[in-house]
Amino acid sequence: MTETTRKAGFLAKVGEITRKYKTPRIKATPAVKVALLALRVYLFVLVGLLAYKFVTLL
Amino acid sequence: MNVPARIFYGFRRMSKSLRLFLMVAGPGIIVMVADNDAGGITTYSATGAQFGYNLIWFLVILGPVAYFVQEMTVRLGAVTKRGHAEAIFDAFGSFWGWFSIGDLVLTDFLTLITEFIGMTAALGIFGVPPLLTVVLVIALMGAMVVSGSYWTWEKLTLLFCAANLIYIPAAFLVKPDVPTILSTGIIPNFPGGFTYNMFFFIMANIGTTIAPWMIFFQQSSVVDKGLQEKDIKSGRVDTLIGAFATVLVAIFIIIVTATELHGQPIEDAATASIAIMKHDLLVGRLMAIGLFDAGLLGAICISLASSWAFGEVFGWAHSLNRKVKEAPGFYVLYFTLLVGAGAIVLIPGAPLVLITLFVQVIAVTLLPAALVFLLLLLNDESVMGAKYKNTRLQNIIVTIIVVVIIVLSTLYALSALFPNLFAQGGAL
Repeated sequence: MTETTRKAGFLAKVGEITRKYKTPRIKATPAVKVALLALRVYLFVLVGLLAYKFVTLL
Repeated sequence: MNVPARIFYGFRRMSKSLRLFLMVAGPGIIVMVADNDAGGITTYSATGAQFGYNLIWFLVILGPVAYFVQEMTVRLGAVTKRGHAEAIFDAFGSFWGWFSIGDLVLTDFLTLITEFIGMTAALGIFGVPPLLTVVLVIALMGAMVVSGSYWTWEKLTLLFCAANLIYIPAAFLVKPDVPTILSTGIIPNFPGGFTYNMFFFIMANIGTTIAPWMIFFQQSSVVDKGLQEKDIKSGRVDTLIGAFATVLVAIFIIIVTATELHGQPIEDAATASIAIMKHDLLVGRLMAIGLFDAGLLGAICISLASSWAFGEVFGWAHSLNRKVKEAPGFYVLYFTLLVGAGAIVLIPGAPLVLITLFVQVIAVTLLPAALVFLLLLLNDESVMGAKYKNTRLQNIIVTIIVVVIIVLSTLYALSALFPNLFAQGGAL
């Protein structure tokens, strides 16, 4: 198997997994929605700060 | 029934329960003891050297915290028969799934490097060159998994867990002043006030006691071992014993360095071992052996946590009960992580300090996410069923733990990224 075929196979598998788990199965109660939203905000801010730090370090 | 018969049947019942427990025991003890990895030993050594016995009370608190978090993974694994990575993909979708697994693999790889740093430094004390240490460790870890038997791997790992108790005789050998330990270590206190330095050590101790890889590892381990709902009770006892052991070892490490090195700046556990060897050769050597064992235990569990997670999501065979030929993807990833991490440590001038700092920051980003996912999964009746989902009391306790950890983790990440943010004035 060549490197290109292997990479293509891996990416195809990643795509297949992404499609398989596209829809979250957890019951979207208000608590779940709030928790996931808060988590997104938290990570967005933290990743933003990491990026800022990285840029200012350059 | 007469008294001898009652004693006989009581003994037989106890013996049966013990046998059943011993069959189930393993994942909890291993994950908790492996939690005292090379980074953990460095943290406890530095804590003792910096603050003496004064922060022992904090570790006593961390024991139950670690238990409550890890106990949830036992239930989740036993009920769903799925590892944590697969459970996240299934419940929260591919976005959170890829985020979690990407962060996990990155953090695990960087942590694995720190384990190799610890192991090479520990054996370096005995004159073993780093290259030989890396080769020996990879060969040993390969030998442990090639048998294709979870049981064999687990029993061998439990032997290394037992070796982690080496710090207990070391603490007795330094002859600490027990009344001083009891008077200064048990009552909550912050010597010198709650300064930035104190906050750093508090967070480092939390970070070494509760780590994202532990959640992934224990759940996958429970599934690989084949634990069922009926085994949850024994799984809880297993986790409780592990939590007790990890705190006990941490306290004894602090006792050793607080007795021998109080007031000296200690940067890592290997430096602590060398410094102690100047006063007491045997204790210093025991500390070095303990550091090697801790790094090895950490490496064993961390490399498996990633391999299990990838195997679950990619649908590869991912069990230690499979031979290398039967689960090539699982073992290739296991060895790739090991060889990669070992090789980086051998690169002359590799930025090992920067890597160590990065581990802390990246682990912080995954920890709140991993804890929130765990809490939500344990409350979903469609996943856990009414019998095994969190009770109200468990939710209250775990929610408090999660909120406190998220707040502290955020402050810690900010302080790591912007050191001057909290350092001005010295106090928070």
